[in-house]
Amino acid sequence: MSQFASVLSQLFPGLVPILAAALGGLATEYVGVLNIALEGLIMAGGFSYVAVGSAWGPEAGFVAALAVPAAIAWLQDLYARKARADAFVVGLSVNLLVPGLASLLSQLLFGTKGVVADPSLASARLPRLLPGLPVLGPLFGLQRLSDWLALSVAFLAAAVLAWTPFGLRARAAGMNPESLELAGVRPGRIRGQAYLLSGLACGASGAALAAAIGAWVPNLSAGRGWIALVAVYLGAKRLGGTLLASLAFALLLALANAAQALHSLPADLIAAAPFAVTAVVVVAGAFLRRAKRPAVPAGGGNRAGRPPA
Amino acid sequence: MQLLACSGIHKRFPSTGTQALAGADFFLEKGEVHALVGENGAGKSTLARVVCGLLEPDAGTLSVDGRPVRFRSHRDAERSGIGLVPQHSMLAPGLTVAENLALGHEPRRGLAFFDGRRAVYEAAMLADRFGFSVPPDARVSDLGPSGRREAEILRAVARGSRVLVLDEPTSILSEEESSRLFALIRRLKDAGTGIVYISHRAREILELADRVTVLRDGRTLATVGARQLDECSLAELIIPTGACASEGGSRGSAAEPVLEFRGAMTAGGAGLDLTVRSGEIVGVAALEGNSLDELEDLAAGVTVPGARQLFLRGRELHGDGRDAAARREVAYLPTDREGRGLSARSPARDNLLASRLRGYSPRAYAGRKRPREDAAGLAAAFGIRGDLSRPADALSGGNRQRLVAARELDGRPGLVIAANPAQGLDPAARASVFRRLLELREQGSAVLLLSQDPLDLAELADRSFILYRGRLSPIPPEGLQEGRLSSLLTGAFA
Repeated sequence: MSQFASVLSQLFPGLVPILAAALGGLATEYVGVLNIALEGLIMAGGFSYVAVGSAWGPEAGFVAALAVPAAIAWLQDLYARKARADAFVVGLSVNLLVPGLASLLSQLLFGTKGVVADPSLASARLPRLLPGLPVLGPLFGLQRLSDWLALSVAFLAAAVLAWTPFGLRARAAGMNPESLELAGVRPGRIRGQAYLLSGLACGASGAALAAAIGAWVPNLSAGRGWIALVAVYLGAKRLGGTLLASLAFALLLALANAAQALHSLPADLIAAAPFAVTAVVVVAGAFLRRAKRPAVPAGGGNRAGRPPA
Repeated sequence: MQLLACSGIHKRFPSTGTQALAGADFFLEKGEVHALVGENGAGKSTLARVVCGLLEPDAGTLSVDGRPVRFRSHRDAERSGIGLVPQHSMLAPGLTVAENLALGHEPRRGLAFFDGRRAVYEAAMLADRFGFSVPPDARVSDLGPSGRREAEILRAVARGSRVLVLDEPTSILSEEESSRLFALIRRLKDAGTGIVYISHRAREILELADRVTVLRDGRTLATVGARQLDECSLAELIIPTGACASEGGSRGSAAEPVLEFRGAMTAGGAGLDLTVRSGEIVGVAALEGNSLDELEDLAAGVTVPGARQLFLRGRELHGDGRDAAARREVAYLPTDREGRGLSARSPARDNLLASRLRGYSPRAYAGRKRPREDAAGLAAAFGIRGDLSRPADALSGGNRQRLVAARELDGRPGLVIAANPAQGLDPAARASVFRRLLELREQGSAVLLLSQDPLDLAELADRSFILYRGRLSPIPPEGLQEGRLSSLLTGAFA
């Protein structure tokens, strides 16, 4: 039973960064663009949290962790649109640029390219909530303030996508930008705002990761941006699906962590499990989708015969 | 006071380098239906987009009620009461009708939330006011063409349109849906709405319009009262051919269009516009290498036309299995008789009866008596000699030609595509094929005659065109006289 409780307690901190980033990915999917830069934006959030937080405190750090990736994402889209560049390539360059830039700034500010630890930035655990309950107790108990904050940002992003006029416009932009033009709304602006939201959510994800350990480490995101992208696709680019897929991944990660403690399986194998499962699920999903598509009618250029007069 | 005035509108598209509008003028009064006509590429849709604020003109002025206006987006135009029903759908397919209507003017609830229920309610009220049946909570992608068009119209009138711009609104509608649309247009007109009506269909324009403005090469050519026009003079305004005077009554132009090319692309270049109506023979002549075969392939469904480029009885042809039912009424006499027209190893009789298999019950066909008699009758009528129970291969070349012609010209096809019909036929067979084509025309078939021999056209066609370097140009009847044929085919007329 304590095994189970430990899995549950690890589920929450594992879920938050993936969920936030996945919602960030969903925001641009709504407007019809794949934001490949989730990984880089998470790192930008994590580094901003530590760099700004170590100077002005964790609150300022958290704000910076939201603002910096949001700005990067917005500029990334602006550049792609104004220079008519491929959004995918610009996103890839963000993924390459951010770790390099973080390393450079880290050298300048802290004199190291490696780990920057600041214990004051490690977010405090909140007192145990719902101590009596069997599942919710361990799930929500003793979690970090930073995780709750990041979760609220994620919830905000989800609410914006699901329930606001912006969410409606974003979906319209993704389906047929002309529908927005006839509504007197500039599709480019909506796309820019979607990227902004995407950066914001990824920033929250990065802040949660950095605040959990109170440090910046190179490769802080460790593939969560990619997992988040897969979660968006597995969730069929819908809100509910993305939530479920993120939850599934978080559960796998938590199980892998718990299994590591058992020593009965090689740790590397267990650590690779989520990624192996990702690969399997993606392939299976592709096959299922293909099977569902109706068969293409055979070419019918010739007439089948016409009735006589 | 003019409701809407556009003067000296210029618009160039830098990316393609085309000067779409070069000084277009257009004036719309309250409560009038004003048709905007012109060839493809004359600038109609561009002018519509400028009027609706979707494009900013390079030069020229717009004014509404005498006040100069400048539209930076459609929202500005909307504020002046201008709504657009675009040629191609501008709806978001995955959203519902109500959501599409609400877009840009979303009703809100609470802090900043979209009030979906209110949007459905508003859309339902609006649909009710116009007597539309489109369900507000249906996804646009689940609607048929008329439902989409209704949604499109509702969106245009949702903000209280004073000016309604309709860009080829009937192109995807059936006859009945169109007449419902016309009723609506008349109602809006009576209520004082000014209507800009863009269409290629002369009949609709004459039925609806009070005035007609003709665009050519981005300029306004003329604005005339619709009552002074008939179908022929209207067509003459759009593309001057001299056909009205010389062609007695322009046979069949009042008849229903059967096959329509609308800006269909061939490798030759420009988009082709051509309409074949029931009860007429439209001829197209060309020398080899002028993509006559491409035109044939498009018409016959061998190649896939572009979206909304080819229509059979107003219904779009896609060049695939979706056309199967519509193509049942199409007879096709291919240039490549042997390759396309014959199943060489099947018995000649089966080849001959292939187009009327539907007329037999399986038993009747298996019983052989009736098909045997029918085939013999057809063979006699077209002078086919040879053993019909042997493979088609076994017939002589001339008989194989006649077999294909006999099969395709049998029955009552709605549309006949006759490609080089005289090819490989002796004078007697040629005469019987031609006689049959004229007979079919009298019976109301539409005939598209494609030929490398202008003499075929001279004998058969009611209207003739020359295809030269990917462009269709009308040929006046005297152009088909023998002495002028060579200059004709080398493009002197084009």
